[in-house]
Amino acid sequence: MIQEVTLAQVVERLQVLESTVKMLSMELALSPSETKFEFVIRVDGGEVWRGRDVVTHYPEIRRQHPDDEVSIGWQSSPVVLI
Amino acid sequence: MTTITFPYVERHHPLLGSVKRPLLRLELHSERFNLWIALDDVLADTGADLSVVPLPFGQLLVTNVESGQPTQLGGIVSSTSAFNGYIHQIQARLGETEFELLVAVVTTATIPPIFGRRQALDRFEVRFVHGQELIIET
Repeated sequence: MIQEVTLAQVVERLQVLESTVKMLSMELALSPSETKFEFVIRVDGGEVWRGRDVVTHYPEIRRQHPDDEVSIGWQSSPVVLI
Repeated sequence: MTTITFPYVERHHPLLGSVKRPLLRLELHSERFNLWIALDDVLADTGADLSVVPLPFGQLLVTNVESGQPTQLGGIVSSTSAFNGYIHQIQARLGETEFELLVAVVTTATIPPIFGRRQALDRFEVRFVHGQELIIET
């Protein structure tokens, strides 16, 4: 059967396949998903902790670093903020 | 008058490649612990009527989040899914400038900390420069 397929037809089928895969990839990338987020605690600008239970960890880290600059950040999985 | 410059912060995005955001550092006074808490990654948002912090930040700032003024918070895309929040008056510091700030503690952790207009951006001269720098005159 392979002899009945021309090179032009093979190229055309590959192009259709390629565009289908592109569409599927785009749909997957755009499908809604739960935003993942976490908090980051930094001491003098360096990250020392990352997670969700910042209410427990921030006071502990602050106690461990009484003379340093302790800050909290919020970060999420890739999302477009509007 | 003092000028504070915050370079935009770049984040990776799978479709856009990267996005740059005007994020600033803000200090808020914790009534609960009687100390100043420095918050990084606070979004300067001219579209936000009020400043907002996610629930865990609010729990660090005030002893009882629900003692604030209850309100509903919604965004451009969230007219059908507003969040509950509680508004508190909190002492804030931007650079060396100290001021009273209305902050809504939203009852979710999925909303980023936001520096909105009322008692916040409206208080200062603010420039968003070519998607590169946020400049605030305090």
